[in-house]
Amino acid sequence: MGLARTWSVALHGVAGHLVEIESDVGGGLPGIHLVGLPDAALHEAKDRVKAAVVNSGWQWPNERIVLALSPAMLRKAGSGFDLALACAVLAADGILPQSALNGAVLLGELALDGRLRPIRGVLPCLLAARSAGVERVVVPAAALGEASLVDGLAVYGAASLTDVLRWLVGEAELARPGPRPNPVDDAAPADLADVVGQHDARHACEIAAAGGHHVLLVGPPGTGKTMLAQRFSSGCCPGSTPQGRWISPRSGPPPGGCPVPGCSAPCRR
Amino acid sequence: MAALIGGGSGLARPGAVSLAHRGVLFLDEAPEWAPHLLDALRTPLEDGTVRLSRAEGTVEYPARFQLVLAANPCPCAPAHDRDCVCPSLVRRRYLGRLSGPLLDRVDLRARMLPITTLAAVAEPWESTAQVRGRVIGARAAAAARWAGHGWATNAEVPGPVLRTRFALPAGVVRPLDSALRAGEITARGADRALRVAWTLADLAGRDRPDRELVETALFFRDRRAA
Repeated sequence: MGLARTWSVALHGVAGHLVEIESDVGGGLPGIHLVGLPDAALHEAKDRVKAAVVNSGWQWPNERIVLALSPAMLRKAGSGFDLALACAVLAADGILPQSALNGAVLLGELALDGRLRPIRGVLPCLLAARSAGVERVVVPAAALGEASLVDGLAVYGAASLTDVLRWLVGEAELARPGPRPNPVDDAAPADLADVVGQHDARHACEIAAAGGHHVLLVGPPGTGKTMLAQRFSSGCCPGSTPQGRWISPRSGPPPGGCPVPGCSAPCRR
Repeated sequence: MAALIGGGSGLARPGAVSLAHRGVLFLDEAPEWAPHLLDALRTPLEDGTVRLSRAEGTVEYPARFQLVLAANPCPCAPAHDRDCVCPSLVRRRYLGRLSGPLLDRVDLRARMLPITTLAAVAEPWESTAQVRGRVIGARAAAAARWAGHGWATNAEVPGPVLRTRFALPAGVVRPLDSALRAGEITARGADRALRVAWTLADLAGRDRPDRELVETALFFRDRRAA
């Protein structure tokens, strides 16, 4: 019999809400009950979490387990709660002390063998955790680059459930974010020198890049409209501003202000 | 619509305008896009956010992107405009798909000229590194000026601020006044031309625009250019 709490973040668009996960272990027939408006992916967390805990070498409590996500009225979606759910169960079962979990937000999807998989929307989750006053956040190691964009939080990257558990009890250290990625300094293969002539259009693009203005290029085909636009957007428009962070709710780190793939093809009505 | 603005069932997902936040949204062959899609860009262009309502709730995504449009002058688009075989109505309708309210939000218009000699291909043209140096310098100047106000680029500065606290002398903005009086630009257009003028000043290394820069900004706004 035991009760434990962990914390994670639910996303509603790009607005994050801190979610408290309570785990009650004991009494009744063995089984897992997940309450608090979970979606299909979150429902399946029951099976993932159990397999991940067992395959990481811990005993799964053979009792009735109630996992409650609150605020209960808020819809919760996705697989990012797996890590917090697993730690809640282990803490309620007495394997982890509750004190180790206080003030920490745990994010990540668990593979059946206990590896921590990256999730979508780490950035807004971290911003929500920070504004909720959280001090420590664990994210999947693959999301550390994205997580490095947020200041004012101790962010840790973990590769597996075992890593997180050992860190929680103070037996091991977790990876910390490295220097921020700078997308502008990435290889810029296409050079403006490839565009022939077009003094006015070059000047217009330069002004646009310098001031963040919108620009329209009109001209016959084959004069370099697309070339010019692509070279300016990838080479001259700084996509590495601190505000560039928001681009990532779905797409990962900002692509240096590149044209958006999938939307470059016109659609005829 | 879902791909560009955002959407989908349940809770709306972000579209290209949000993925391009703080970056560039490049719409190639802009008149080939359905007009209702292009016009859906109008609100995000002004607000910098996009609000999508569905049965499960309303979500707001950031969408402060820089719009780059490219267009042919007409459907047949020969190398030289004089060889165009499109009826005048088709020509007008083609670029007319970029609606007036959308174009009013586009600060700069430039016409690309046909290339007339292959010798130009061999000439050394300015490279990305050279232009990027100037752009970064101008961005730094703008960022330093607006640092205390919470804006990073000239494009973000609200019009009223440029007309009051950072107002330019009457002589400098006279070209804008006469263009307004003649109906060549809208009030929003005048604000946008002012912002471009500030960028021109940043690029030229001056602390504020003069009349010549305001005129240059108006030149790039001229609808006849596109």
